Amino acid sequence: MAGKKQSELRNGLSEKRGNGTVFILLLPLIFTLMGVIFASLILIDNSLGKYAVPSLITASLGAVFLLVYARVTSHSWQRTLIIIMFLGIGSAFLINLMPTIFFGFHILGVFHRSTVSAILLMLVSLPTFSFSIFYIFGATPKAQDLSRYPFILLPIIVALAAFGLIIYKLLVLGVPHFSWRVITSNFIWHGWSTQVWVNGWPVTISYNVQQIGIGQYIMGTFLLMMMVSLISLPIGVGVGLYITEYSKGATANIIKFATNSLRAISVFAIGLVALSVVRSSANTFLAPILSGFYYNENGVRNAASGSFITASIFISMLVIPIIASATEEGIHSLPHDLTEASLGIGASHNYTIAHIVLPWALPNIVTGLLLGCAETAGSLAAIMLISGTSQYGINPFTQSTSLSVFIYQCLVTTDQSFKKVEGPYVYMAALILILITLGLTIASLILKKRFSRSYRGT
Amino acid sequence: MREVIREQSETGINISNDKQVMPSAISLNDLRLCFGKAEILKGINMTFPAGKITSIIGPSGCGKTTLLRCINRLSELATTCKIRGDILLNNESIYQIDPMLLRRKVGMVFQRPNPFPKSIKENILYGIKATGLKVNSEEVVQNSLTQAALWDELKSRLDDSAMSLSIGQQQRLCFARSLAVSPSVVLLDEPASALDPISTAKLETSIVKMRDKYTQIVVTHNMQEARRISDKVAFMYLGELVEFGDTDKIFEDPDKPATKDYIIGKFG
Repeated sequence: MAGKKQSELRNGLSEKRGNGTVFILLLPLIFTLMGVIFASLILIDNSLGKYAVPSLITASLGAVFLLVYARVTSHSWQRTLIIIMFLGIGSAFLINLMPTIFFGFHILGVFHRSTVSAILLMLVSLPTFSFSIFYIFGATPKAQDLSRYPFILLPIIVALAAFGLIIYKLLVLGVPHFSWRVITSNFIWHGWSTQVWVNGWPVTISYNVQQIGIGQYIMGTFLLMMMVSLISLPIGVGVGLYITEYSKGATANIIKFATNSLRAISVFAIGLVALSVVRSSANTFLAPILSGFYYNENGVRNAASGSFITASIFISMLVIPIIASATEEGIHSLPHDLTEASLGIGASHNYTIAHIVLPWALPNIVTGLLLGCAETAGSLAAIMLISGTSQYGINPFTQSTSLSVFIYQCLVTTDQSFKKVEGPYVYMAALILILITLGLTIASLILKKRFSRSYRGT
Repeated sequence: MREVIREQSETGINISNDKQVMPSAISLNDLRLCFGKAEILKGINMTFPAGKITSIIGPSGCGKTTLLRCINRLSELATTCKIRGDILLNNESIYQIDPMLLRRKVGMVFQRPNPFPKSIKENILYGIKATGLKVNSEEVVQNSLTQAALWDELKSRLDDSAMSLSIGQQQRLCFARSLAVSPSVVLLDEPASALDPISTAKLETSIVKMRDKYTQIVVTHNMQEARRISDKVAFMYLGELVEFGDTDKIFEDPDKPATKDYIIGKFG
């Protein structure tokens, strides 16, 4: 009995490469692939929901084909396929024949039948797709590995599609308004504004706009990144070094915990502290530095509503933990023999740290620094709370500006002339912000590789 | 093999070095060491003679490496370490001087080669720059590499990274690096255990050539190596010094039965 089954099995395996069987497997492959594609399209565009039911039926048909094939070749029922087949047929039946009884997701009271049918379609067709790949490649363990690829590729495709959609939209809306003049010139407004009431809402109309541009926002972003790096790099590296090299036991743990907690604190809490510090320095000598000053056209010094310096001090509170943990990671990766060799030759502890430990940790420090810069470029809450909203240049002692501030203003302002004049450039600003972050990431990768080669020998 | 190496050392290169430091003797007076509750070294009394090569042999875990690391005070860096007793370098206790100064006089070569990830030249000059001595750097580099028998191989690529050398060359570079600061004692912790036989032979030749210039203490697992290169041999077992004497005597006619059992391979 066993011998007969084995010979049948052998025949079954050798038969699989015949033309007839492969053709029978291609059909479920195509059906289920169409099912997967339709499911994703329906999720994007709900009006295609009417194609859900036919797709469900064809996907279940594909499952039936596969079941027949499995039974014929290896004498076994695949339980998963049976479940999927019933699921497909059952859900097609429910969606089609009883629409009033089948409740979808009630999001804001709207009946989302297409979303549910899309999800069910995906649930039915994706495993069947994997099964058909499995049988096409001969039902071997290697074929089983290959059949997992749809599940692996689907999240990748989703992530890439989301990213691609954002970039596409930004390019389509931003590039037509691109010009070098806009990017490099500052936005200067000199004139007056009035407030009128339109449809019950106040609307500000300004006159005499003199120069259109987003130059100072870009420069403001760079200035902010530079100042934050200057403050947070020494402190961050110092904290990381202190934790790993100079303190032992409980003190190190407390400082490490405190440093990581800085990241967990909400930005608004930090901003509140910053605001109160600025306000409490109102009548002291620190007031001009912290809350900004400028000279108006008569040469008189006036107070401004914020300064770059305050903003950079308080954004560096968010960036210091990043650099500190990067340094710590770099120092932990140093092999012990190098420190022992250095001490064994008569170098002092500090000399070892300066010449062996820190160069080894340099790739990690660079990565941490550039991550901190990327975070600075995107931080909006700190700037909005602490240091005013805009100026017409990049004076570090008056209000801070940044690309994120510009985007926020374009969305929120009630000043109609501002929106008309600068509004088209908001997509360009977002694109530039993304490009800055991308450039920083690429630069960090290149620098990390270069430093790793020269300071670690690998 | 031992005769061959002895011959080679007699025809060795004469290196005239004005700042030659005389080799020193090291004496251990009732040295005891505990890591936490475990007693690793139980009362060691011995003297390593100046200018000679001494081997310490023994089975794994008997405390040879710990003893070696006591001599240049690296064992103390572990927090649970307690040491009693004394170690004298030329009749001066090493616990009275600054560890940094001690480590300039007592160099160490580790089991696995650990060159710094810098250029070959910077590796050799690292110790000198760390101590702030003013020397003629080219002369020092040439002397050290010649003593380690690397000068001919590396004289054309002194600026290459030290990590690009083979393992045998890296270990000899570590040896040269420890010689560059002109120590009086060199400690070698199983220097050839990671090397192939050819590199081992080259390293052993260098060690034997430096016989009268430095006191060398070699810890080794390999009894044949101890027999080849050393003048005196110490046999340790379970943290105690069992026997200490000339190489020929230990290997041919040892006093203690434990030594005899170890030599013939009854335990290891």
